[in-house]
Amino acid sequence: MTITVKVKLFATFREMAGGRHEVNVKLPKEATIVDLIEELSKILGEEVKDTLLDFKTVDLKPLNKILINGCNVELLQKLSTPLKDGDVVALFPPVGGGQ
Amino acid sequence: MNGWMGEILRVNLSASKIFHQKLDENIAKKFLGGRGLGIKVLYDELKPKTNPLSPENKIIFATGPVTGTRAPTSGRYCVVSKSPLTGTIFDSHSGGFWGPELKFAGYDAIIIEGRAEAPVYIWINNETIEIRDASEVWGQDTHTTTEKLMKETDSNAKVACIGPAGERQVLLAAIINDKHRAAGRGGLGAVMGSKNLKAVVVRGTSRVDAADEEEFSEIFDESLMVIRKNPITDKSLPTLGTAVLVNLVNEHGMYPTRNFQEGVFEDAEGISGEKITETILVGRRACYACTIACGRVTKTSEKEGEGPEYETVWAFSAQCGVNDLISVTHANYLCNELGLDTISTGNTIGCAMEMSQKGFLKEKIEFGDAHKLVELVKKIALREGIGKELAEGSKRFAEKYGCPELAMQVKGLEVPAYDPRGAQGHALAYATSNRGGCHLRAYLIGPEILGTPALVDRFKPDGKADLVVNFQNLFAALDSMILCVFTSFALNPNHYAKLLTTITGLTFTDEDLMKIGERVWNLERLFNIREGFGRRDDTLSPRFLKTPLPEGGSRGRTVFLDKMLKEYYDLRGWDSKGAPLKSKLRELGIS
Repeated sequence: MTITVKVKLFATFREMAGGRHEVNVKLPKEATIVDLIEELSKILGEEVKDTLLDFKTVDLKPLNKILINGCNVELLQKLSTPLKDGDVVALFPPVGGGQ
Repeated sequence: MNGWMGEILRVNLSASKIFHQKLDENIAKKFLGGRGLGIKVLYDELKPKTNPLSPENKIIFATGPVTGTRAPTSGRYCVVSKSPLTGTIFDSHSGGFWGPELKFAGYDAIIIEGRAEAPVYIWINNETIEIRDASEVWGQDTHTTTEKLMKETDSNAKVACIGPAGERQVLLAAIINDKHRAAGRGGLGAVMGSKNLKAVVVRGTSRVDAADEEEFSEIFDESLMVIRKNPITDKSLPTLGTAVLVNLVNEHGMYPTRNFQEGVFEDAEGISGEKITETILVGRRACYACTIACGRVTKTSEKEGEGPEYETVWAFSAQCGVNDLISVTHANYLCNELGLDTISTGNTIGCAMEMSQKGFLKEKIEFGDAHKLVELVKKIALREGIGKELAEGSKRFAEKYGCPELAMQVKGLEVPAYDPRGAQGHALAYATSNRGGCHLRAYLIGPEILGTPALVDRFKPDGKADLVVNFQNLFAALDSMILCVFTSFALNPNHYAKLLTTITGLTFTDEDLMKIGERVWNLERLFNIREGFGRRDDTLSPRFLKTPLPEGGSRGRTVFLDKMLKEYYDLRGWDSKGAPLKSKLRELGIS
């Protein structure tokens, strides 16, 4: 059994993906965010993993944002948040502004 | 005392007289400058219930002790007056180069009173001040006005002026400096128009030195390094501009769409910061002493100009259901040229579109009609046709047609580009804002969406009152120094206190700075209470309190205002009606 997750890429993540705005990723049924990052790195390159993960703390780097259906994974189970078939995951590098 | 120039100009337009007065050192220490100084002057000098568009209202252009130094983002100034749009005390800020020039001319602020008999402009050339005839530029747009007045005075002069909107006392009128920078909000351009004041033109040739140049250089270097190491101020704002937030806020389901009826705009991609960068961006522009350079120089097949920024993009696209970036950009250029606040203008047009959709208006104004959008911007500025009524802002317009609930505003000021139902703290910040619906009194989007300084759960009301109070105090202090709030993504109150200390030669701790912000906030509150504002005005449009968002990442959400508001009043040291307690005022040294 596999699940498919739609990953939407924004800002500098698009450069890593050669200009693509989204990719569909197939994952095993029990997959979590960390599995998704591993799989994305295989598809788009190691830069994705380097940008998102802090290898010392084994955590997400601050200010990067991973949203599952509009909810920040920091407020769920972080890297261990489980994924479901049909989830929409959005990846943002550190961004700010707003005037 | 360094930093301050020590001198304030007072110009009485009715009597055609100019007075010089010394800056009161005690006021400077307690309120710094900028917003703090402006609101102190207005509180002390303005009679309660003054008509904002009468000669009795005053308009103050103020800088702060940090303005014009080398400190990063120290190019700002603010305009303080009683707003004709809200009836509250109001400070409106702008970047560019005008603020530092006023300091270089030798002044901390200009207090303008009365009304000229015929159109005039004020020409400040170091110590020489003149009130000059402006009949040649009256009726001209802000770009032509700026060019003509520079030619008439000095090619290096800096011009802050109004366009046709301000002249016609449109309540959404902005003051535009350096052609593309706006003290946009609150209709202060209309106050200038009511005084027959077309522009304030400044040329200065002195400089602003720090009291302790060596120590200042140290904290300057450190601040700059922190700004350059921060991914938001070093990368995202310079490369993608403020509109980088379009997609992020849309993905959170709180990107106000079709007058806040929805929280997801289906065409967000086409008007996003990424799209602007790919299509119309031709360069970046920084304000004085700024390394961030978030300003966008853009070009379409027809015109060249600056913008659109995050707020403007939203006001003319999602808010009006328009997906054409070029029309949005042209609407932005028009606002700069005619002198209009983009947020209030777009929000008001979106309100009219919903009123038309729901049958409250005879005139057909449909969501998604890009042509109509651009036409309405012009009509508002010139008060033509339906523009005459729209020029009064969304609150008055919707009330007139019997549907006040369709105006998305707080205290009469149109709400900006974050649906409060998606962020409880930000909702409280809107409701308690002293100047009405504004995202820059307290930017809770920082902790609730961006994760700065740390991410908090945006849907939980708990702990939000405390965050709002702290942000409000900090931003009131920054607005009084004055530094750009974008530095707060990277710098902390300790950096600000050190900058202020080394520049002025006085000692400020981070606690002192927060206390100054709190003092400013409370004095603004006292002004508003004197004007009749109270608990009932600290609220939101009923849609935000009662109608859940229909779809997206904030689906089903409304604002829990009452609980947060009570906690907020308690933390502020205010009574249950929202009035500061005597003990709080004593603590802050406000009698």
